[in-house]
Amino acid sequence: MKALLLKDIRVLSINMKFYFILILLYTFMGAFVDNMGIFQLYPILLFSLFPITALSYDERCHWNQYGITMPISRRDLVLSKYILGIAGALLISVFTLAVNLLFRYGNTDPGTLSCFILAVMSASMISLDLILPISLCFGTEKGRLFYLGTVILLCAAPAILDGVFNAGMGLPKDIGGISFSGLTTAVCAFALLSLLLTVFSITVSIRIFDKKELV
Amino acid sequence: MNTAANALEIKGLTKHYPAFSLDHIDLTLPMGSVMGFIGENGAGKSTTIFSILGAIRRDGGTVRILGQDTAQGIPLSLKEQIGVVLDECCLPETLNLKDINGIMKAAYRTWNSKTFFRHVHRFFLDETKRIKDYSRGMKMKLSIACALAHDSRLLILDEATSGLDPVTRDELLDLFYEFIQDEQHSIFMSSHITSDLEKICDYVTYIHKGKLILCQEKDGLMQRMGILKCSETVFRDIDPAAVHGKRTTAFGVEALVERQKIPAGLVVEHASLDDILIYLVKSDMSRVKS
Repeated sequence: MKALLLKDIRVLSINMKFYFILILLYTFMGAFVDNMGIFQLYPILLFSLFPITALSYDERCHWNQYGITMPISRRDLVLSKYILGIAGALLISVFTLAVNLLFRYGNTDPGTLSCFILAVMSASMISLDLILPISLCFGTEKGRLFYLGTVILLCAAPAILDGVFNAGMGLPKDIGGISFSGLTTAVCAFALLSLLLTVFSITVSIRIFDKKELV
Repeated sequence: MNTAANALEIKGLTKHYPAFSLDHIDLTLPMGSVMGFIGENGAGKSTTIFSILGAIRRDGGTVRILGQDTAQGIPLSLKEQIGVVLDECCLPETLNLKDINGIMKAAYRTWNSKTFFRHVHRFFLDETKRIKDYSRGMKMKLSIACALAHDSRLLILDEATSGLDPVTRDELLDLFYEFIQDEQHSIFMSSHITSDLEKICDYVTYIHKGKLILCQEKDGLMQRMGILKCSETVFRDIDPAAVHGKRTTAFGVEALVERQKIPAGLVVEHASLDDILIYLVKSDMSRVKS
C-alpha cells in the first residue's frame, strides 16, 4: 500500500505541478474575493480527480499488470486510489478552511464556512465514489466523461431541489452575509451519506477489480 | 525456505477467449533449471505467463509455484520470491532510479538497494535520467535489475530480450547464468529468439495456437531430432512415425525427423530450435513423444 501511494504521489507531483500551483492560487484568491464559492469549490473538486489522473498514468504504462506480480494485492491497488482521494480532499479542505479563516477573520462565520467546505468535500467524495468504480471497470476515459456528468448534476441538484421543495438550499452568493439555520444538520447528514457511499463504492470497486483482467 | 522439487508446475491450464484458447497446458520446471517457452507470435506465451501470475483469471487447471498452490491467488510472501520481467517496462515513465528504488523498497520486504544499484551501475544506467529518456534496451535492463534486487528464486521473463541488440542480449544471458548458479534459482523465459534459448535453456516447451506441442529436455531434443533432405522417392520409404514435419521444395523434401528411426546411409543434419519450431508449426503434428 505504501509503495502504491508513494508511486502515485511521486508521479502526480512530477506531472501535476501546474495544477498544484493553480490550486494554491485559487485557494488564496478565494480568501480575498466577495464571491468565493467557486474558488473554494474548484480546488477541492480538482483534488478529487487526482486518483483518476493517477489511474490514467497507471493505464498508460500498464502498471497494474506489473504491479500484480509484486507483493501487492488487487485490493491494495484499489484501496490506494481511495486513500489518495480521501487524504487529498481532506488536506485541501483543511488548507482551504485555514486560509479563509486567516484572511477573512472577523468577516465570516467559521461555522458556516466549515459547513460549506464540509459539504463541498462530501460532494467531491461522492463524485469520486461514483467515478472510481466506472474507471476501474471501463477505463479512465469513460470515467472522466461520467465525472463531467456527475459534477453537473451535483452542482445543479441544490438549485433544482431549491426550486422543487423550496428548501432554501441554493448555493450562497456570499457566505459572509447569509446565515444558514439548520444547515449544520443537513451538511452533517450529507457528510454521513458521503461516508456510507464511500464504503459502498470501495466494496464495489474491489469486487470489480478482483474479476478484471489486467492485460 | 521452501525446498520444493519443482519451481513451476502447471497442469491442465485453460483459458478461453472468443477467438483463442489455451488448451490444457501441462509443464513442469524442475528447481535449478531454465525452461525456454517457445512459440510464434500469438501462440499463447504471454497468456500462459499472465495466467501463471494471476493477471488474468484461468478457466481451468492448476498452477503451483515453488511448491505452493495458487488457486486462491499467489500469496504475497510467495511474490517476494518471484522476479518478473515483461516485454515492456511497466514502470511510470516520469520516475527516475531513485524513485523506483524507493517504491520497490516499500513494496518488497527483501528489497536490497545495494544490489539494485550494483546492477544499475553494471548496466551503465544513468541515475539522473527519467525512464522515458531510456532506450528500449535500458528499460529492459532496469526491469531485470528490479527482478534481481529482491529475494527472487524464480524469474519469469516474457519476451525480455525481444527487440534488443545481440550485445545487450549477450549481457543479459550472462546475468541469467549468474542467477542460475544457485540451485534454488530457476528461470522460465518465453521467447521466439531461439538462439538465446539454445545457449541457456535446459528444457524447452513449444506452444502453437494455444496448444502444447512439445515439452522436453533441450539437449536431448536437439540430439534426437535432425533435418533430412532427400528426394520424394527416398522419403516415401521413411517410417512416418519418424517424421515430425516436412516441406517440399524444388529440390525434394526437407523433413524434421528422429535420427534413430532413419535408415543408415541417409544424412541427417543438425536441427536448431528454430528449425524444430518451424517444422512443428508448419505442419499439423501431434505431440513429440519422448
